[in-house]
Amino acid sequence: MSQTITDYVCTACGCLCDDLTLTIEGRRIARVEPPCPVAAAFFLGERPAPPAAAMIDGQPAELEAALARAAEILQAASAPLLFGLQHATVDAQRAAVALADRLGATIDPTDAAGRSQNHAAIQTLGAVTATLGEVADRSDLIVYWNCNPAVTHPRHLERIARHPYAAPGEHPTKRRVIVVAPERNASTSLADDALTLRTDSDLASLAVVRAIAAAATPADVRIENEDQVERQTGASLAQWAYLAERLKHARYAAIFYAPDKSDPGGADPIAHSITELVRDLHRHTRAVALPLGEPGNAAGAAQVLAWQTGFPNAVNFAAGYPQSVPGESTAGAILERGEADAAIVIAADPLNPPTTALSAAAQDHLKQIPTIVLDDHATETAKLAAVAIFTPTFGIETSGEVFRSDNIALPLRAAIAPTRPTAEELMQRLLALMN
Amino acid sequence: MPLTKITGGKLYDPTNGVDGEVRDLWIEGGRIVSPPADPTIHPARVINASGLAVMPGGVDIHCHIAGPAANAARIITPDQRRGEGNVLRRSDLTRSGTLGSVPSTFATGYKYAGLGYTTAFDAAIAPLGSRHAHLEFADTPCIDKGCFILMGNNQYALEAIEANDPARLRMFIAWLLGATKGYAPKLVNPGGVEVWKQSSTARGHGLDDPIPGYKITPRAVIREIVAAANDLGLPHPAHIHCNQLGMPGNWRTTLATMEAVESRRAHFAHIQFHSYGGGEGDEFSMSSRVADLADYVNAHPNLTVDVGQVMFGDAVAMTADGAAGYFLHKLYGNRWFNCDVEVEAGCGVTPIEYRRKSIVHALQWAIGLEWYLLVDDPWQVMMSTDHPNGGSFLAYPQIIRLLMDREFRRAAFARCPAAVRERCILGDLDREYTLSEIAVITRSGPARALGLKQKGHLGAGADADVTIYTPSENYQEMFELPRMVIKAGETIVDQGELRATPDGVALHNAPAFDQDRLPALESWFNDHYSLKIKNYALA
Repeated sequence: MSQTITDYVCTACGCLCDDLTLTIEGRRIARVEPPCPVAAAFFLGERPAPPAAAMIDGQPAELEAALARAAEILQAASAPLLFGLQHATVDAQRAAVALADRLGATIDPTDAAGRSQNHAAIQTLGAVTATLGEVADRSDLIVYWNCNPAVTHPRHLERIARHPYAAPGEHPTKRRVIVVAPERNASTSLADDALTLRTDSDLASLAVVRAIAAAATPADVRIENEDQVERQTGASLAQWAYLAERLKHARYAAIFYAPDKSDPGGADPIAHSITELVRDLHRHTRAVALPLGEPGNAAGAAQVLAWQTGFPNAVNFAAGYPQSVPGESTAGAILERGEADAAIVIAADPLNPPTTALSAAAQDHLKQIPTIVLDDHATETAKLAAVAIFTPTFGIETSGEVFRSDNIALPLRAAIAPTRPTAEELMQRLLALMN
Repeated sequence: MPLTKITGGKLYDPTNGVDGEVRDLWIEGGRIVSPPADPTIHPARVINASGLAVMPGGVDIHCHIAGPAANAARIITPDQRRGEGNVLRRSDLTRSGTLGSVPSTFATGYKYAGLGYTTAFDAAIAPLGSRHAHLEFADTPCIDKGCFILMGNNQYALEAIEANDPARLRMFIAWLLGATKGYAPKLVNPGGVEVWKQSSTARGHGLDDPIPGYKITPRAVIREIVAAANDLGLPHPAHIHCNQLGMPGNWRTTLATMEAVESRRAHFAHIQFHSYGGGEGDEFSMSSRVADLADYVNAHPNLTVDVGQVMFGDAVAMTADGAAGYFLHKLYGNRWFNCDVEVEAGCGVTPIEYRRKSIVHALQWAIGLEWYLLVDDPWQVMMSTDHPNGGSFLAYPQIIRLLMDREFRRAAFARCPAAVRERCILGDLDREYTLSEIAVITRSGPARALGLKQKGHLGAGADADVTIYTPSENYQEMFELPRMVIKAGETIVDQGELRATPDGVALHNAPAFDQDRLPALESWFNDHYSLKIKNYALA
């Protein structure tokens, strides 16, 4: 007997499409529609069953014993660190912040590799943005800046960029899609125009575009050595002028970008520069910028932290209240400095050598301190942890809410009934054991 | 909750005509009850309120405390969250948090409770943001709360109005309130947000200019939505943020909007920001036109207003009026958050500091006070700072003192720039509010305007939300630190200390609607939204 679920929310990539149809057979997903390679890999792939309800020091253990051991670790810790949380529901994130508050811990939402989010641009400048549907309905110019959605967000072009106009008012021209990328890729071949961007020259290129957009006419832009523009940015001055003029003369321009996570301690200069560009464009027209989006519920982690503490990124509760020192209190920095004496890792695998984003020193410290892992399978980090407790598979066996990259909350309903306790329940039980 | 008696207090219960009389108050099961007929029945708990003033819990009819805009405001103001005065420490009972202009959620709940407020309404939630708003409500303890749902630029509503199909409009309003767990319809710059989405330079859209892309005007949107909401019998039919917020000369638009609702019930939000004389767009010509507008309100009992008082200091402009957000960003050059919400709404956020030395800001402060003093019937005017737009809700006690103590008010006005005195009549106003009138504008009036029959009064059957104050000559001190706050019969604040942090409930309305119209709505929805209707409606 198979069962069909419609309008399912997919957390496999940053699109968070909510129109999937899943065919369920027993505890297995047999079919996913519409076709999408990322969704297929997520829903149809093997979900290895954890070896037990929990593990203590790598050995199978009962849930109650694991919770008791985890509580002991946390009682003894003076500077615990919670991180992960991208692949978790809003309720799990709420419970994690509550636990961090109670413990006087540091909490940092990271991806599975342990990479922190960066909110420097919005904290210092703000953001000029829109919901995905506003862009899909209204935008007459969509720019994908240094990203390749056709591969990373397979349905983004179809759902957003090639969606028919649906907003009121006139739409005299056909929508134009421009991809700016270092090389021809799957997305450039779907675009109306493609501009070449020299690797790591985002800022120089954006500076040129901003300068031209700020000028009254293209002729007002004087650049001493035009050849140098192409050498430094990958595209000629004329090509950047074309992009700038397109942006100025669009009715509603939208720029999608992939935020830079390479330097979580510093600012995200590309997000900063793109925000300034769309802000400046308001002297001429409407323009917005949107991140392409992270898989799972990364946006939710930032929203939950912001409403509970006022800060969207790493927060330290050691003083008894939330403090945010961007860069200083990220998971990677705290571990590298050896400042944490216990860790809770929620739905992340930072000790998996091929994928981790943590430095060797940070990994070494994480291996030395007692660690509690909450995850849906026996990750490398779970195998090395003092305590691992297994949770339902996020995005398949979990119910609750997740936030899309444009900060719209969507409901997540378990496609397959969970058999293990949820991450939020486990953290609430740990919180109760603290009192 | 056991049978409780609050004894010996002076009751201020304007809804039931009680003005400072010493009476006992009985509470059982979270509600106010009649005194037991059987004199042998004794209360399990007695609260001695001798010498104290007893009022219903405060009801805030207009603030911004939850949802996407409030959270964006928190994110762009990290600088307001540092230092001793801006943080809240964790305790065994309470969560930690930060304050600033837009406190974190737990802090918001605790601070409202500490002020003797037990109910608050977020005044501008885009339907697409309602799931988010309710998630924040779940983390906002101590108070009951609700949200008003943005409708004045909703394309489906605009199409129904254009098609002259009031039945479709009524169905949509009823469905939308249920789908979003909303309390009331909200109009923000009706039609004007659509203008902003189409152009960054067009502004100051008049009430009779056609909305681009439609054959209707903002006046028609106001008239038809107010009519539909009244016809649906909603407890708070329409909460209106007029067009041309903050613009000199906008009082004419405000008056035209009041006329457009005809004789129907409507509430005008943060009216202070909509009462300016002067040349269009010329801030140096700004003056007060409160007297003209208050005359109209005095003659039209169907209308209510909240003030949106400006207080000097840090604030955050936070509005569904995206164009206003951009205007203020250009004016002050501060951080700017804008989010255009598909089909429905806009959102603009930018920090702002109101300075006493600024003629414009001082005039705004005076205009707000004029509203309290020039509306004859206190049931028609309500306390608000449009938190955090004019200032924090934490300023309410100071506003109360400004209204009750004319010498204090005069001294404050004397510190404003001299030019302000020529542009308003505040200096000529001697009125002082009584305690009973303060009870009206801070609880009983808002509850009545909201159609909340169980709030804002102390009659049998009301929710046992009670605030007990220690009388003082200094009314700011009196209202800043209630002696005791009781929520649904439970003592939540005692001598300034939080004693309990109940969740509070989310108040919402789900009127019946014509189910036969759903398929057409769903079909329209799927062509216009980036998500499915099933994932849009709150279960």
